[in-house]
Amino acid sequence: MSSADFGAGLGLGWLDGSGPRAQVVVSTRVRLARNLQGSPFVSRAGETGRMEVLERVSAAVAEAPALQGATVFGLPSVSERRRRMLHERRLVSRELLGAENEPRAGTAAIAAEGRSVSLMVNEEDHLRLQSLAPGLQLAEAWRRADRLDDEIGAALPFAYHNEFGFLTACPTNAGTGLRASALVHLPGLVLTKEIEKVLRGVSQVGLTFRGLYGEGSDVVGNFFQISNQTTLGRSEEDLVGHVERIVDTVIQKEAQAREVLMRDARAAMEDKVWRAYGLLRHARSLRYEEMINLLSGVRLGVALRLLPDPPVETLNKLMILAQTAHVEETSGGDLSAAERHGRRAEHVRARMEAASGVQDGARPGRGNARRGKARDKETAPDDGASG
Amino acid sequence: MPERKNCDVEGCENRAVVYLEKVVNGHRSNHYYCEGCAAEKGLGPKSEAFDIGEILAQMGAEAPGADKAETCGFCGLGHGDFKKTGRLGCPECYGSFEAKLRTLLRRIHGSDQHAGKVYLPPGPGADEAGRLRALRGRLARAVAAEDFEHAAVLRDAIRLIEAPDDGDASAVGTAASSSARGRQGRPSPVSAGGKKADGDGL
Repeated sequence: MSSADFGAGLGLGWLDGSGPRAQVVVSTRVRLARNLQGSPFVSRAGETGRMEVLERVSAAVAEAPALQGATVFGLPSVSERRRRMLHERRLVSRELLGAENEPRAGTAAIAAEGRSVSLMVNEEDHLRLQSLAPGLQLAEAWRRADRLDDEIGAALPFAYHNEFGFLTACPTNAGTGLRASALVHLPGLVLTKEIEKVLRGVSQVGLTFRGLYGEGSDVVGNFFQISNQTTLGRSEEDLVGHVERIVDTVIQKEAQAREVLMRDARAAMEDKVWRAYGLLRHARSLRYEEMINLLSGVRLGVALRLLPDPPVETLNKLMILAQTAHVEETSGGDLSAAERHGRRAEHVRARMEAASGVQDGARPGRGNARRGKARDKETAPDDGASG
Repeated sequence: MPERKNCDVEGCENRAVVYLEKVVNGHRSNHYYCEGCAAEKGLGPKSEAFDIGEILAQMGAEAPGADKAETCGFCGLGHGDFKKTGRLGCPECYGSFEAKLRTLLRRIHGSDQHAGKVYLPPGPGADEAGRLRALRGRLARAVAAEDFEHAAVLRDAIRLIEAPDDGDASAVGTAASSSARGRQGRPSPVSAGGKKADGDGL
């Protein structure tokens, strides 16, 4: 359980684009903040305290069916690039990576191949349980997180107060300790300049939005993370249901914006998405941010059926597997920025080429559902971004 | 908002920026509020993220003298340190600074009462009635989520408590999860008094 190696699919089960509303909602995530009774919170724990927490958590995880076969990635012993890969796979937060990319002793990520649940140890709280699912399925993500929480909580005494609920280092997380979020793609609302109004509405109903990588990250590629802001005073089901309903409303607004665009500016839209497609298919050098913006255009084009391919799964995979650390890893060494941009473009071309003519099997909410070849015909290159 | 209106609140002449449509028992009514009055009614647009620093900076003047401790007896964190960092030192801090935190929690969440999962730590500390309550809550959730496999495990655990002759009731708390086998962290009690703090300013 201490290997620093991880498999190609670790933490990537949500990439397959299989969930409901997968063309607009990339993924949903539920996280629970938990702390152990009788131990100081992480910021006051010191190295010994953190190591003790990690030891106890590792022992509990070894017995938890929901994380059977999991590996404990003690971050200080994982190579710098692998740590960034874990971050790119959303298994490790920026905070857990540590200041100056120097993780503290006792920090760890715990994940298992093929499992959608994972843990962060000694982040802001002793434990952050998380559950990721493709598309919009917050209730399912919550159910899995809940199950893992039951299993770990039956082995380790969590800090809990009859009135305040689960006790967390920051009072903004107290109570349920639950953050439910959906990563949504809203280019229609951005292009029609309706996005601010919609996001203001989201804030007014007690939710908040962030960029692709959570707290403090920028919005790129028209991807937004919408999540609940409060954690105390409502049940988990209530919080999750609220986020799901609001995200559903946002999706409807996005659909309306897309209809307006197609009605009033179809030619401009076609040009925009085909340009993005052409660049992804043929560019020889791509910066990450540029790639994400192009992926946004292609994702929109595919959803509007202006583009023939690729399926959402390919687009999701590119978002994750063509990030900096993953590109470096597949190239087997440190790269200059120019080399990295070249390798990224190469990776994107290959994956786009492999998916050429492959379409999503089902288009929810649209007429002729099955069109084109089946998605599983996609044979992506080097799916294994790691060794 | 359909047209520019002034705030409905008597004596306030600011321009309304919040429009509220209320439907009570089928009766529809429209209300207009300025930003300040809307915020007082809890309707104001919230900022994108909590400015916990600002909320913390306003603390202290409130909850007058309800917490005797200015320092947590368990971890030694001073209340001043918490105001600076926004992070508590340990679970016991919630007891040490209870009155102040109650005010803070209400400001952040609009509530200081947990309404989610009922949790009982493993070990002999938890009473049987509490265990049953927690297990029944979990069972209801599992059934609602149509997770029948998990529900069956929970149901068996409940039966063990209700009819102890059929099994060893002391094992019940852990029966719902195999992960509990053989581990026993002695929970240190967190102040969980049901008393509400006086004078918390809200």
